[in-house]
Amino acid sequence: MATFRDITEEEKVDKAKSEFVSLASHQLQTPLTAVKWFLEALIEKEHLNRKQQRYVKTAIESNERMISLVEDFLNVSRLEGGGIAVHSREGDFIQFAGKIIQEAKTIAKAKHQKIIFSSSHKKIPGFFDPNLISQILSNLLSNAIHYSDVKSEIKISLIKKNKKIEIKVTDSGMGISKKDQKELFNKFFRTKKSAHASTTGSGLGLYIVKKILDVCKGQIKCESEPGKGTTFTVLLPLKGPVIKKKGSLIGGRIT
Amino acid sequence: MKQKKKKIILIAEDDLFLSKMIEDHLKGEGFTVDLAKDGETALNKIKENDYALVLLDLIMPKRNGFEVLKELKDAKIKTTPIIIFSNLSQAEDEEEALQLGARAYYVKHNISLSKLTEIISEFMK
Repeated sequence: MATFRDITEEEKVDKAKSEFVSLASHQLQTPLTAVKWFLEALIEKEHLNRKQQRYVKTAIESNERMISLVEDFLNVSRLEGGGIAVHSREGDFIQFAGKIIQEAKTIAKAKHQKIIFSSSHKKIPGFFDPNLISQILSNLLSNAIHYSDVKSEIKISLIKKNKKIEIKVTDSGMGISKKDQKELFNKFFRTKKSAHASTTGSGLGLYIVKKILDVCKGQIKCESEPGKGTTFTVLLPLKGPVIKKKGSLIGGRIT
Repeated sequence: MKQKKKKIILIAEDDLFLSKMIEDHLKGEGFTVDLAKDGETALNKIKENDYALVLLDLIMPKRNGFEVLKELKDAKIKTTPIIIFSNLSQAEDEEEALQLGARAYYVKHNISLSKLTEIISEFMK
């Protein structure tokens, strides 16, 4: 009995925490947007000297980091609030992933990295939630970019396996030890090595990925050797689950 | 330039900071703007005027952006192009707003003000 009550209390506190994070994050977005716009206006419209430009650019980058951190917090609070619903729709997974890979390529360019894309089929049609799945892809790709060296190669492959798709992201980065692999998907977890290598990274990315895969009935595994690189393999059903959204059209049919 | 000036853009944004920034920026680009600080004002102004374009925030006091869209549905919405400019980044918010008749949906913190000018110019053609 006592244990039972403790758990509900804990859940209540957790829920309150999640709600607080969500509220605080929403409130943070407006001032962050203002900062972004002012700084961009400064760099675009004023004639700054090189030093000033460098300062403003750094401020813009820091602000962008803050914006994506707030997005992460919001995503976590949504996922933990239990209110996460999967809105699957019909589409070509290759075309969908192509857009995200293209965005990642732009980021990788700054580190002179190459992203090599391959797939088993030209088209892989199926049902998936673009909003949720894009978070999985962009988190895995941005980790690969972030934790591997300049001029290295990152591979992403999409393979159709019956009614599922296998997504493999391979980098030749710093790698993850066996011990760390066990904790990799825990909230706020960062390997000592990565925390020492850079201060960016909230330890939320893979936690979000895992949470999303849980609701989408997918799986993820990590294979890695320290110093040699890491491969993440995601197995995702492309057959729903399609959840009803008050009489709306999803994927061109009434669900 | 001359052509731009005849057409008025309504900025429906409750945050004074952001509203001022968008206003200054668009004025600087040669556009004429009008302001609404809450959903109810926005609704009345849209009903009474013929704006060339409306930039509509979603989270606003009195009436939120979704309610504004709902109320305008079928009547004014066909003649007044409404662009959502919000910090809500969920796909279902976008889907709902577009279903209610908004012409486009942009997340504020994802685009710069110069990008906003490009988007607006495209709509004002």
